[in-house]
Amino acid sequence: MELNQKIYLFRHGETVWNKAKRLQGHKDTPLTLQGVKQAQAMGEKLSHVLKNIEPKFFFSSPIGRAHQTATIIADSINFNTESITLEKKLKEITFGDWDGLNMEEILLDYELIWQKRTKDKWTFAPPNGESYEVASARVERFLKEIPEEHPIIIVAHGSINKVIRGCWRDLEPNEVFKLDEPQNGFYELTSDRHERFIEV
Amino acid sequence: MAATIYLIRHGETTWNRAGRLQGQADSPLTLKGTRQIEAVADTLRNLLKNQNYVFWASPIGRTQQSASIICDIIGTNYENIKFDDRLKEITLGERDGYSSWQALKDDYPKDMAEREKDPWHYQHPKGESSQMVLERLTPFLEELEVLKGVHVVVSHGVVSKIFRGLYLKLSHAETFALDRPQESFYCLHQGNVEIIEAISKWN
Repeated sequence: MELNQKIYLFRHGETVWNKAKRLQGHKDTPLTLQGVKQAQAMGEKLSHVLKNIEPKFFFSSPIGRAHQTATIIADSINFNTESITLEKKLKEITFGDWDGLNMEEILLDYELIWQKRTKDKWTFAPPNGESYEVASARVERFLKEIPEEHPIIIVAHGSINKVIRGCWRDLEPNEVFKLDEPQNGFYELTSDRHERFIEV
Repeated sequence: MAATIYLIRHGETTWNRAGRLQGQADSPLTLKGTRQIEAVADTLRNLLKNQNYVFWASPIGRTQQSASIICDIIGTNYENIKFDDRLKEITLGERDGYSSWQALKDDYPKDMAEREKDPWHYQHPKGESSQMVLERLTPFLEELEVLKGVHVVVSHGVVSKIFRGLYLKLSHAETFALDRPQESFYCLHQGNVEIIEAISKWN
């Protein structure tokens, strides 16, 4: 690992379902106007942070809201959008049958299963969904595969980004759940296993 | 001709910029594309003022994204949009996503020569002809004329041309010759089609 490796980790901008407080998982809705503005502002901020340094790699989750955000950010730093690598391992953790539902609807139809979740949130998976534990394994594989070059840009999702930061910083599961999921800034992950939040 | 229809194309996408043929395949809006739609929506908001309207859109990703931006600017809920499959872009079937028109000519000279004989009725393999698009747009336009009132329609380049051709009763050749701008949009009213330039804050 290069001593000064830097990864810039972004969550997509606000979507229609973020605003409506619905779980998205592998389902998708477009960015709201605010989400577009967040992506534009994060791209602008990144261009100041990078100055004229060209990213070596630009990874995005293939899900629409992440790819849309990645495109706006790439255009803001004059990075060729054709060179964005769509990486399946960066897809959001899927809530399976709960993708698209809000909390009220989950409690109405799945209250007992929801209660099971509180016993061990790390290994729990919703019906046909993915657990944090399983998602963490794919994130570890991804982080091992990425080249030791920098800077690297990653655009992904709220839950999976928490897992990425957890793996990077070697956090315990309970610490991962406490991490935030901002859309008004991004994280710089450094080779000393630290992170720094860069607000727009 | 009792309806007033604002006909809008989605903003520039990465494949538009690269000259790639989209059809019913999809790519994200570019930064420029998001700003084009913001400008279109700012202009549209002033035209709509306090009128009631119905908001229609094609359910393809780039038109969903464009419609979402427009909604927030003109002040309506995304949940109010009527997504209608009849507004989807013409599909080139197996050729959706092809790298360019020129590449199609180079790779399939026989097919493209066949197309030249009757472009209006030509279908790419498993694709649609312009006539087929016209036939799905005809009942849509009739529906709007029956509903009357104001309609916002967010759709695609080829659909926009065929829709205006239908509205103005143009010949096939005249319809093919129409433009499909992304920095302006069209108002269809009382049998006339008027272009409305969007004022961009980003020029």
